This record gives sequence, structure tokens and C-alpha cells, in this order.
Amino acid sequence: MNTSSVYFLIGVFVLVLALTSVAWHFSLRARRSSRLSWESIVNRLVWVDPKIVAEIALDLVHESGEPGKVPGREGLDSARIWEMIGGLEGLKNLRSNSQVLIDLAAHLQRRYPEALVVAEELRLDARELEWHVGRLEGAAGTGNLEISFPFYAQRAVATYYRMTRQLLTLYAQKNLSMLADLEKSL
Amino acid sequence: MHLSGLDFLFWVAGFVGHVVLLFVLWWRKRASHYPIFTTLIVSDVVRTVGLYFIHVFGTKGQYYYAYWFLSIVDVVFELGVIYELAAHTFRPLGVWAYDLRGKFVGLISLYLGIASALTWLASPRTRTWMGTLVIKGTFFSSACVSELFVGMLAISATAGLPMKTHAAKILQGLGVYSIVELVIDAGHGYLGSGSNNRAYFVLSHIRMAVYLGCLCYWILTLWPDQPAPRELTNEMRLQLSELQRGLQESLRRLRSGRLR
Repeated sequence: MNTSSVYFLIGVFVLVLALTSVAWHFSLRARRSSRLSWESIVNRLVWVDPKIVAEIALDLVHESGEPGKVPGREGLDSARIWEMIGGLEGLKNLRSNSQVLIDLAAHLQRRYPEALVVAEELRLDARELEWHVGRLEGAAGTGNLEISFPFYAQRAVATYYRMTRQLLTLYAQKNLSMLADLEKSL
Repeated sequence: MHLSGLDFLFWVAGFVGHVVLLFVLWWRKRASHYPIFTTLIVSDVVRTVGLYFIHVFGTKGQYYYAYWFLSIVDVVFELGVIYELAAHTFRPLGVWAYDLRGKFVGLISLYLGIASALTWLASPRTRTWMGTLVIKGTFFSSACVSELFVGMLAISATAGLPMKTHAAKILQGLGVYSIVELVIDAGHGYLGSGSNNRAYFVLSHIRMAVYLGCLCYWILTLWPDQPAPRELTNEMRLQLSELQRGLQESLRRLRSGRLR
């Protein structure tokens, strides 16, 4: 057996193993997702402290709306913000929330074709928000969080906060029986 | 080329399976939703019949060239089916979801690179350059199709774009077959295709048996209708509307840098 054949066999083995594993993982994930109810997806929203999030969001924004230190405010440094948001775990919670919204959109597309347009817009919005948090997680992984935080974090955190609060308000208005459960998770 | 009783059995079973599947596609009105998949099955029927007549009445050379020409056509249609399934899944509003375009281009480039590298490494034991070309070409197409299948599955799950029931069934059948085919074509790529190479024919029989299994799977899963759609309750409609409005507003501010 020549060297080229050995590399060929090893390459094929690795490729088949990778393809089978990925296919298996995502098939199971798609199957699990297809069986979830609306309520069970909403209940996966992770609690994010609204006061802390609001404080972070407002700290580095001028009245004009442009990012930057607000005159007259002491300001939070990146380390403090990192601590307040709960570090990488806190960022993962935000990312998890964006996944919940994507799952909600998928649930709608699957079960309610009449909501296709709304579901697709919701999915695209949630993906965009997930992208912002992804940049932060990536920066945390490469040790550049301090540089990236002022560009992404406050906006993303505040957006997530508003999304989850919006959902909570909706349930408070429309479905009191589920509000208690939702308040535990938000 | 000598064909054994088992070869003829697979041949007949494949023909019958394709005809039954065509009947299901036509009778249950799936053909209009999946025209390229239906065309693939029609081409398989034509291929089975055509190759039979060439085998009986034609020359060995004619059979050889017809076989490989039709194999290329088959691969083109398989890629077409993947496109069709992707279009069903990733164009929910009639246009390709913009958040996935870059991912698709990146994945296809990666897949072509992996498939090309492995194909380059393959050194099948054949007597002619044509045999080498055919085996390498078949392996390359198997690698591309199986990678595309897995890529579609992954993108669909991560992007939150669920596949319709029938599209998922077609993709699952094609995906399982393409991965098995990849393994078998890798075996061919290693063993070569000498006429006295028993392992080559054993692998070919395994591939045919797996394909017959896929045909049965498609027949059974494409016959039932998809789950009936539900109607949104007024409450859900209102919730969605409010949630969407909130998100749009958040994004507008996010893009412009305004948080309040």
C-alpha cells in the first residue's frame, strides 16, 4: 500500500465519521425542535437582570444616541461591565435567548404557514442579534473583549433586554396563567 | 460483461421500485412540488430500460459509454435535487434568505476543496486511464453530494428554517445513500475495477441494496400527506405582531447606534 493510498483511506474515514456525526447531531436536533410546543420554547428564555442590563446599556451612550461616554457620568469600564453581565456565562444566556427566538420562528413556519412572512422576519431579526453576541463571544475567546465591548456589548445587551421584556409584557397582557412561569425565567 | 443472477435481480427490483415511486409521485401529486426529483426518478427508469436493451442488443463498448454517460446525468440530477430541496427550505419568501448566502458559498468552497483533495489522493488499480478517470469522477461526485446533504441539514437546523416533511424525507434518503455511496466509491477508489476483482462487485451489490432500501423509504414516506397546517389563534397573532414590532424597533436603534 503506497503513502497516497494510506492518506486517502485516512481522509475518507475522517470525512465519513465527520459527516455521519454532524448529520446525526442535526437530525436529532431538528427532530427535537419539531416536537416542541410554543409554550415549551418560550419557557426556555433565560433570565437577564433588567436593572443591570439597563445600567450597562445607558452607561456609554450620549443623548444624541451616538456610542461613547456620557458627559457627567462616571462610566463603567469594560471589566466592570464584564462582571455585571455575568461574564461569558451571561453572554451565553443572551445567545441562548436569540436561539429561542429562532426556534419560535421555526415553530411558526412548521405549524402555521399563514405566519410565514412574520416568522421569516422574526428569524432574520433574531439571527442578526445572535450575530452581535457571537462577535462578543468570539472577542472573549481571543482576549479582545475589552476592545470589542464598547462596539457591540451595550447595544446587544439592551436589545436582548427589550426583546425579553417585550415577551413578558405580552404574556402579562394576554395570558396570565403563564405569566408566573415566564417571570421565573426572565 | 458477465452479469450474474443477482445482478439481474437488482436490475429488476430497481426498475420496479422506480416505477412504484413514480406512481406515488404522480398519484399523490408530489411531482409538481418536486419536479427535479421526479425527473431524476424518470431518468433512472429510462436508464434501467436503456441499459438493459444496450446490454442485450449492443456491444460492450456501447454499454460502457452509455453506462458512464448516464451516470454523469444521474449525478447532475442529484445535484439538481439538492438545489430543489434547498430552494424549498431556504427561500421561505421566494428569495434566498440573505443571512445564508455567505454561508452557502463558504461551505461549497470548503466541500469542493475536501472532495478535490481526497480525489487527488485516490490511486485506484485500473488498467486504463479511462477507468481511473471514471472511478475518481464517481468518488468526487459522491463526496460532493454527501457533503452538501450534511451541510443543508446543518444550515437548516442552525438557521431555524425547518424542512417541509416531504423535502426532509427526500433529503434523508438521498443523504444516507450518498454517504454509503461515498464509502463504497472510496472502496472502489482503493481496490480498482479489475474484471476479476470480486470485492469490487460485492461493494457494488451493497450499494444497490442500500439504494433499494432508499427507494422503499421514499415510497413509504412520500405516500402520506404532510401534517395539516394549523390556524393561528388571535392571541398568538397579536403576540407575534407585538414581538416583531419590538424587534424591528430594537434593530433600527441597534443599526443606528441609538439605544433609547
